[in-house]
Amino acid sequence: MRIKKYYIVLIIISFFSATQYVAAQAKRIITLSSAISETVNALGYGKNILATDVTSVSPEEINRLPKVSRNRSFSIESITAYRPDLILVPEGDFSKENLYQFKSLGIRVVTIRQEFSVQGATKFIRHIAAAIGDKARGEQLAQKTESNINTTLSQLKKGSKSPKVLFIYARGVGTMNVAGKGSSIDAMIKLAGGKNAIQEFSDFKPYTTEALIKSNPDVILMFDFGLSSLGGRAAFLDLPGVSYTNAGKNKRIIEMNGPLLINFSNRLPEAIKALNNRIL
Amino acid sequence: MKRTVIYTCLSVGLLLSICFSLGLGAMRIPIKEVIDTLTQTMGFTIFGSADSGINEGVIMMIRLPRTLMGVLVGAALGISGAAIQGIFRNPLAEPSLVGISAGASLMAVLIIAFETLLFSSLSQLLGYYLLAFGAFVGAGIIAMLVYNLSKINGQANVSTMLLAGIAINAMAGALTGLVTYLADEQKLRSITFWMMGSLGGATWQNVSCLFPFVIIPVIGLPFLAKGLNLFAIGENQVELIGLNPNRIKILVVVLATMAVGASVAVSGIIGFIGLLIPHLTRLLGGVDHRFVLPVSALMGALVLTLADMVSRLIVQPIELPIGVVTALMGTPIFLYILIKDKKKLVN
Repeated sequence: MRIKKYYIVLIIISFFSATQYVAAQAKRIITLSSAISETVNALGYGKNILATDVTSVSPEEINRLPKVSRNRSFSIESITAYRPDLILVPEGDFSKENLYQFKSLGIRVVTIRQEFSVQGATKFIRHIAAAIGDKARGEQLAQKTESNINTTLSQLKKGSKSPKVLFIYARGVGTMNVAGKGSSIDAMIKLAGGKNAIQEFSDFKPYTTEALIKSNPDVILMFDFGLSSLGGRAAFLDLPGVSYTNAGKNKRIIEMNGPLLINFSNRLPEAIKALNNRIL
Repeated sequence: MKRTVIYTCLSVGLLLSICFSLGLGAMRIPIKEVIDTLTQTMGFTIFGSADSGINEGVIMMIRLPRTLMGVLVGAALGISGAAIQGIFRNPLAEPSLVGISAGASLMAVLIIAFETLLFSSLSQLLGYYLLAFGAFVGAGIIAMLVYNLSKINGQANVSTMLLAGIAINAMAGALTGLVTYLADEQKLRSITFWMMGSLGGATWQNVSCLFPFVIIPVIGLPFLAKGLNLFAIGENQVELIGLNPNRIKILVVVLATMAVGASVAVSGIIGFIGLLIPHLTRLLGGVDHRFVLPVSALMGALVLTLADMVSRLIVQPIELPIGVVTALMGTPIFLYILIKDKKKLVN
């Protein structure tokens, strides 16, 4: 019950903060996810970003900024020390206490919800632009992104049948998770013309050898840092069970840039095109 | 005489560490301004440099509640560590070591995960206090369980107690792990918080929620000091003097778990304070509980405030989990106790 109420309050807060301040443009912004940082930059406000989180690594000028949050661990005071007038944070990353603390400091926090779809991408851009106080540029970028997505989707390579793709999120051999239905990666695979090999569960669940063999993917997809955390391509192919899958037999192990795959904003067309090229 | 000196030193130390904790942080705020901001609430300024903008906000809304939470949680863990060691008659009986903190956090995790399903009526009734109350119940159940498990012929057996603690910690860890499979990502994050411990979420709201749960034990437990002294000799000694040992036992367990449970509910599991503090206290001034209990509260507050300062300042701009700092300070002491006890056995 309480969680639900909290959601409603969040939505109301973000709604008000998004509408109330349209007149005043945010000058000092802190962005706490790669997608948010990239979107703010694409809107032309990259120079207004003071600090980001550890995942915001592209483009280079964003990567050079100080990182004030590491895996959602941050200090209120370090963020406040930049005297921001706007903090953009993915929904759920700030606890109820954190939101209250920033509110009592008079710092505006806008929580941004990310939906993993084409519509979600344009909504994401418009929401961020409204929070910054430049709806016009948001509209421009949203429309440009949407038309780019449509062009990309119409030019996708199509195979005889869509390949089964298994995404593995790895942080070393002990910590491997696979992407189920409803996850960002699931949506990405579908948009790029593939089929998620996992249909049994939603979100991310720990990887098991038997589940790998059972799902028998044609392609195994990983983030670049994920594959290197397992010791690279050769080491991965030697993991138990991999050789029994089509992907293992044909050595179709793909690595892609993490922030690009989960951007679901202005870089979505680029991501769809890149993934489509690799899996088909 | 010696004890007066200890009380004075610790009080001054605590005041100083509170001042430093309010004055230091990622935001560079001159100490004059900190003092003025604080005195301003009482209606005057000394240096005339009070600021009404973001600096005041940081001091009043972030640093002050956080520092107060550190003081309260430290006092709670210190005094309940001492009291629980007294009742178990063993210096290794520490709330997080024997599973009491794990019981509190497990209960909190269960409430977070199943709140909408099972606890909705309770949640409406207790509101913000539900987690604190649940953590208290969890801590109490585990404390009674460990005590009864470790009792052999009316004496608490050390090795059984520690092994029971290991078992309960493992079980709580496993159940928490199980719950994380059922929880969605948002709940998962708050569950991680319970396992790690942090004072970063301090607001006036949860500090005021914590306050009664700590103040009652801190005031109440020293009244049981005499009984605990007799406990050290043996349970029958308590009866001889005409006191009811079971009543003392229950009162101590209720008060100590109340403090531990509520602390865990607002700050997660912060280990080793309950072990380290009473031991340091005994090193300073002997084993009399009339001394150990209040001084443990004072020293716990002092040490946790310092530990929090370290966790905030050492890896700026982010923070180190406070559990890392307290474990780094606590484990050497723990090993020292083990080695000392071993020597005693050899002699």
